[in-house]
Amino acid sequence: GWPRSGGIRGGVAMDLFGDLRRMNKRQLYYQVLNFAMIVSSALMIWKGLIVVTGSESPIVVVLSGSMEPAFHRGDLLFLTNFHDDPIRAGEIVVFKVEGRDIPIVHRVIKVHEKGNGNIKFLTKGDNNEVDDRGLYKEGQNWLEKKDVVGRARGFLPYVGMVTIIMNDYPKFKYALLAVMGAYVLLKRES
Amino acid sequence: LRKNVEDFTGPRERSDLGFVTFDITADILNGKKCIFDWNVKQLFLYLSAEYSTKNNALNQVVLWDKIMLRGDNPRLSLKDMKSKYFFFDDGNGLKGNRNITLTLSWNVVPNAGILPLVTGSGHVSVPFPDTYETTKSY
Repeated sequence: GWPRSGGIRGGVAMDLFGDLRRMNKRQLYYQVLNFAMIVSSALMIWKGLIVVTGSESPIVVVLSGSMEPAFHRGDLLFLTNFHDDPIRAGEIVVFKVEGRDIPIVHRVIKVHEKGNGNIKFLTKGDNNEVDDRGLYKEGQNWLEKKDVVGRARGFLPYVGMVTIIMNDYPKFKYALLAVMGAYVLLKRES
Repeated sequence: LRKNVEDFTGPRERSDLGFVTFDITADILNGKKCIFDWNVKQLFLYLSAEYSTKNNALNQVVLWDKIMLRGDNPRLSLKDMKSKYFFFDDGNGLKGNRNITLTLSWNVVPNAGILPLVTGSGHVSVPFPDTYETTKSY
């Protein structure tokens, strides 16, 4: 056990500094390794998902209202991108326009596939009046397989709101990371 | 599930443009049980035309769609509907094409969970005439 000062301590900050000073180097290294292990495990799970689903981004957050009332801003989508899965009308695909980073979630409304497997398709948001040609690159009229990040297979409402808040309010993101870091570094398994 | 259609083709720029009018009668049920159970938020219904041409082995074009929310009447009885979207072919494959298949399908959107795509059991084959219409108004 650790030597403790008796009586009621005042304030969490005093506790934290007290704990830090009392930890010897070994305990600190142990906590850092613990933290690193948690981060590595999370990364491994994410990479594993990428492999299993075939998609570079197996979980995406809906950013706009163009697919309402089915999906709203902040909903979470689970994607797969199997090479042998053909692209068919009616499917919900997540794609990126060449040169832009933002993934767009819309529905396939036209498909033209050649005998050799070459596919070109057109998309449109359920809540939009017109198709997505205005969103594509200058002069581009169709999307191809290479533009697809994945097909939406499942969804959870609201859960993705956290990432949108962290994006819009970076201070919130740093505060959250600081609290998480402090908790993991300082919690003791006794 | 029944559909009846009338059709014409007209040239626009260099691609065939098809005009289709249709009736849809459908009961969105899952056997005896209504498909709108506790976890179904809405259905996204769409009528798609599937056909092959010289240019492309497979073509699919969505002609019409509708969102049906939980609580809406699950019986559809639409008559004389015009297609919501332009039925452009990628090329001139509609003229004389005898085998265009129209199918009604729907995407089930749950409150949370898997997003299945279901194809209705009825489908209708539509032939396009061999000549272009130049004077029909749509």
